Amino acid sequence: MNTVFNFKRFWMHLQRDFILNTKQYVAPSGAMVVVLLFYLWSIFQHYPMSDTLFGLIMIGGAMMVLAQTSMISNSFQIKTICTDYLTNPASMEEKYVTKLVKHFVLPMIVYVIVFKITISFQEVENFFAPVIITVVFLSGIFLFCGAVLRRFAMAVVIFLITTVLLLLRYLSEFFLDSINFMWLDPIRVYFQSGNYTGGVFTSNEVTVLFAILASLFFVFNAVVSFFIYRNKELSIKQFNW
Amino acid sequence: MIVIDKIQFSYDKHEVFDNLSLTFNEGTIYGLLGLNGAGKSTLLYLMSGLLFPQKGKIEFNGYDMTKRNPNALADLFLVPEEFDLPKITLEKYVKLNAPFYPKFSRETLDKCLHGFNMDSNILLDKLSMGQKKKAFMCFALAANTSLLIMDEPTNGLDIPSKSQFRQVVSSCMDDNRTIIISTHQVADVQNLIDHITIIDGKKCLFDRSVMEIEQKLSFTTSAAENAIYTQDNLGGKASVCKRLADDPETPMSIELLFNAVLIQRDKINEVFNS
Repeated sequence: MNTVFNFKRFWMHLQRDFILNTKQYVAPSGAMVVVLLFYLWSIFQHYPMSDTLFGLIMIGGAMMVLAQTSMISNSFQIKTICTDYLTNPASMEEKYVTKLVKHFVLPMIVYVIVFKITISFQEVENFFAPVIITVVFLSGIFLFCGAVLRRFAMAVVIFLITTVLLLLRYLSEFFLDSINFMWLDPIRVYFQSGNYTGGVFTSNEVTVLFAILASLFFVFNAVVSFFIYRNKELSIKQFNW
Repeated sequence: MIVIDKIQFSYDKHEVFDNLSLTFNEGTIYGLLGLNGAGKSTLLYLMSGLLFPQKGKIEFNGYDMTKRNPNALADLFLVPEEFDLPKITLEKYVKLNAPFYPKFSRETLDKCLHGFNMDSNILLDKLSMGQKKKAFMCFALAANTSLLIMDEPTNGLDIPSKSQFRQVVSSCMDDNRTIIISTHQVADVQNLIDHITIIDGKKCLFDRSVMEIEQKLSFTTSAAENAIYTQDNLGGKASVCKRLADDPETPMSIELLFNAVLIQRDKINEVFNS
């Protein structure tokens, strides 16, 4: 049997991981769905809370996806979990892709669906593609940071990025208008009010181009992070008890 | 067959093994003995690919264990001293894990569960520590892997379960299988193991089959004149002597042999080398 990546074995490992760690799969996505339900309830009741919930879904959901992504390369701190994981007969590649599905693909899918539903009520459809592309791009960075930095350092990185983003939110008009870099456009869209209608993302071709670039950037980071993670897993110091 | 070839391993500055070589063959149940901190669990983790030696290599059926090849992992099973079982039924656990082990036998699982007086319709997280251990060992035996490694398997088992453990393990043994049991509870594995390996930090002190031991040594419950080693027992003494040609064979006492090897290692090995 293929020792690098066997789809049948990967599927068995994914199923096993899902059953044994259901909470890890369901909890982040569940939180987003709960906020979505509140949002829909708020919309249908004509409560002004819907705008706040929209912001929560947009920024909170994105942060949740990024935080999840940064966990992909985390090593195990608990001996019993580590032993079970390492002795399970699946290849490192299969185990890594399982983590990728759990910590990126699934939260991202839920985020896209929830965001798509909420944005349709806000009449700011142009928001959608730039935000998703930005989240994919940032996920690549977070994935890499999670592989390179220790858990505590990662928490600091998350805190710093959050602070920077909040600062950008208030400075966006002044800051982003003065430097018109194309790649900053998703961030600009992200933090501008909902009346955004112009800019490079008006063209479908450019949107597709950015989407491809962001996806490639993520895949590149995922591959690099795999090798860093692999070295961690093969390091005796990492699993030294 | 698992071959340990001149391995060196240390935890930071604490050296555990230096140039250790051992071979574990098929069709044998090995008892891995040693003092606390001698490196028994470390050796088991090295064999199962959880830790890697700094020098030397460990090969299991031709697979380098540092590669954690999935085919190798599918043919060995580690029962660690501490483990967690999920909040699912044993049936569900089997359904999830059995497909990873190509030689898994449902029949063996039922036989082992029956041997431990257990039912397959059990919720794993509701079991006591001893029951969890029995359920996990049943799955490990049913996986039918070529190599089964057990670290302190009888810890937490009640008195009837210890004899059930011996019966269940011996009933699952065959010529293609290697079972390695690391334990301090030597009485629990008496009459079960075929081979004794004693390690003591850095090196192997003793590595002989039970048959060979019983041929070369005799174990008495008195202070023999030609004793290699004598120890005080409750209500008397116990000795290990070189067995002479016309002496009857005596059943091996693992505890006595272990103490004798630790204190009179050279004299014991002299008997085997003569």
